[in-house]
Amino acid sequence: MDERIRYINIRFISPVQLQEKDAWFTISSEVRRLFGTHGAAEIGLFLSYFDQVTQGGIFRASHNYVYRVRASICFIHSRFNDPIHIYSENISGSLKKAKKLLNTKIYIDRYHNIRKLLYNSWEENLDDDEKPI
Amino acid sequence: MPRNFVDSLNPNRESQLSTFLHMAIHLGFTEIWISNPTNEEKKQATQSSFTSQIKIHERFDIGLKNESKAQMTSMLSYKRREIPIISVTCLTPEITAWAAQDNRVDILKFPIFQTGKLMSRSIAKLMIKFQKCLEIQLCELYSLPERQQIPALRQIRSAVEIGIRKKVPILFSSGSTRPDQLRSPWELASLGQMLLKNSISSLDSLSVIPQQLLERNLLKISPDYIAPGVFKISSSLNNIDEEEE
Repeated sequence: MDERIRYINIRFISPVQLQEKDAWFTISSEVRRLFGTHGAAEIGLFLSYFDQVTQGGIFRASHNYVYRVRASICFIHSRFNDPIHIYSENISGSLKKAKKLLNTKIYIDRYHNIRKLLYNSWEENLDDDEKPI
Repeated sequence: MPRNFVDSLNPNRESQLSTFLHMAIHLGFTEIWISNPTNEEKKQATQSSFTSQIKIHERFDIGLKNESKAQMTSMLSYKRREIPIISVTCLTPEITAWAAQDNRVDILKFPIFQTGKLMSRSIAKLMIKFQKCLEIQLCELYSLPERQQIPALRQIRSAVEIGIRKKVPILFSSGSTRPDQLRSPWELASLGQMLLKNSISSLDSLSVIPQQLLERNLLKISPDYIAPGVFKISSSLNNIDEEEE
């Protein structure tokens, strides 16, 4: 029987604009750190599509191991000393539908709102660190 | 019907509460428990619950400052009637044994590196007998430095395994102190699935179990409650009489 696959829409929020390869290495390195090479092979992770404007990526994974990709996302906080926040939006069975959902207005609005809130929070934390004791 | 997810937060600054709540709404939570809120935070929370579709409840966390049993008991005696959720962070085996048997306590929490040691089979039996929940704050796990994640994961896993074997209800929450530590409920459930090895029970740990606990306690702290199974119905009878007239 053929392996069932799922497409996971993942959004990246960082002060630095991420490229396609950055998105891939951020997720894949965390998956490999958490589950090892064998676990990563079971997941069958693959970056199918990345939209640089909306900073959203569509990752392909095995139906049985989608939870592993989502669990790995929890552990990602920073990339090369820059803070990063990653969250998954939805899961679909076809790439066509995943692309359609990635550019849906509700999700893009939500991305902009979360980005705005996080930028303020990161600025506040930076101010605190820079303050003299 | 979509699930209603519950998260519990420990904001370390008053100014960040509104950011926290907005983030939680965007990430998909419908109910938030705020631990030990100040008066200013309570006001902000009430305003936010009016303007957005999110339910906010207060929870009381004790044991964080290594208080003695006597101090905790005196605090509980006047807080229990006001606050729906009471959790105890158990730092020693004595406190754990007391908290597992005290009827005023709802949730037991453990320091992350002692979770496996303190959550023994006998404690799990007591927790079942006295209807207590075990809470795992996942933020403590995923915010740790890489080298400390392995022992922490092992400790949590052993506690969760005992909990599953003895059928102790397990709650998962982020317990985040900063807005960037918040994660969406589906990601927390996936992390829970990694620990519980079951997707449905991990989703229940974030939605059904906390809601049931809150409903039970809200009923208990309502003014009409007298004893288990006994309620004052005079106010409702008066309303019926007025309608008949």
